[in-house]
Amino acid sequence: MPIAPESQGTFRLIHGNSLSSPRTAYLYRLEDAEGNLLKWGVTQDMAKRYPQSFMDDKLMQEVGRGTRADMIRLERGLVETQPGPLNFERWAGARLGEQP
Amino acid sequence: MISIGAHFRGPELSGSRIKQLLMAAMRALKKERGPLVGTDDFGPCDPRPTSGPYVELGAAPEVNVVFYVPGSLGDFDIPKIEASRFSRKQKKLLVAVPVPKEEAESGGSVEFVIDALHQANRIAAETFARKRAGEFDLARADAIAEKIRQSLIAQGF
Repeated sequence: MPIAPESQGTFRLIHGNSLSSPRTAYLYRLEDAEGNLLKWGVTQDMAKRYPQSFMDDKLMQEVGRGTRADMIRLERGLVETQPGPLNFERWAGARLGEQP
Repeated sequence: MISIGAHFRGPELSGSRIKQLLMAAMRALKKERGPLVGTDDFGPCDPRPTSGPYVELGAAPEVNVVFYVPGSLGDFDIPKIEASRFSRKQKKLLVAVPVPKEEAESGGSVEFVIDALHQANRIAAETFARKRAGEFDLARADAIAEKIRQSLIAQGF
């Protein structure tokens, strides 16, 4: 788990899911065999040797990488404006049809 | 039973020939095998059809063949086709297939895809037998791979 320096010489742990996590995060688009959007998501799994998620008849298309905070912001915009059927977040479709 | 997945590391692969090829293989597989009813790591798969054959996930040993395609966002550290994650509960084995950069850039070939499916089937049969986790139907899985080959060739790949 990464650690962040504090001003008085102590350190605090940063959870990987924290927005302040310094690890690189990846924005992806999950599709079915027809290329239809299933969901937008963010993962940090790429830091491992390779992700080992079961994908039954599904395709994962990485579309960008950056800080976790940036990727979460991008994902939020996409989920609000162009959600997939597997985006179950409560804000999914909140700004349907608008620009992300 | 067999299912296919794919992971593309870069937005430039969105309309690529290798992606079209793998999507065509997935569609041919689905046509031959039927839809999948159940959930994977990302959520529900297909809805239960009102008629016609379908496959219930977890009912029989399954190999989930996942192709890893390198791109502008990076590569995968997979030296060769290999058994990866195994779930006794789900009766599922993930077999990771690294797609070489040259293969991805050239658009891929039917031979590469079908050969990978046959190799994955053999790995699955050995793994399920070794772990005493049920009998993987190798003959059926290999027959499906050949049907996929015929379909891809008929589509001009």
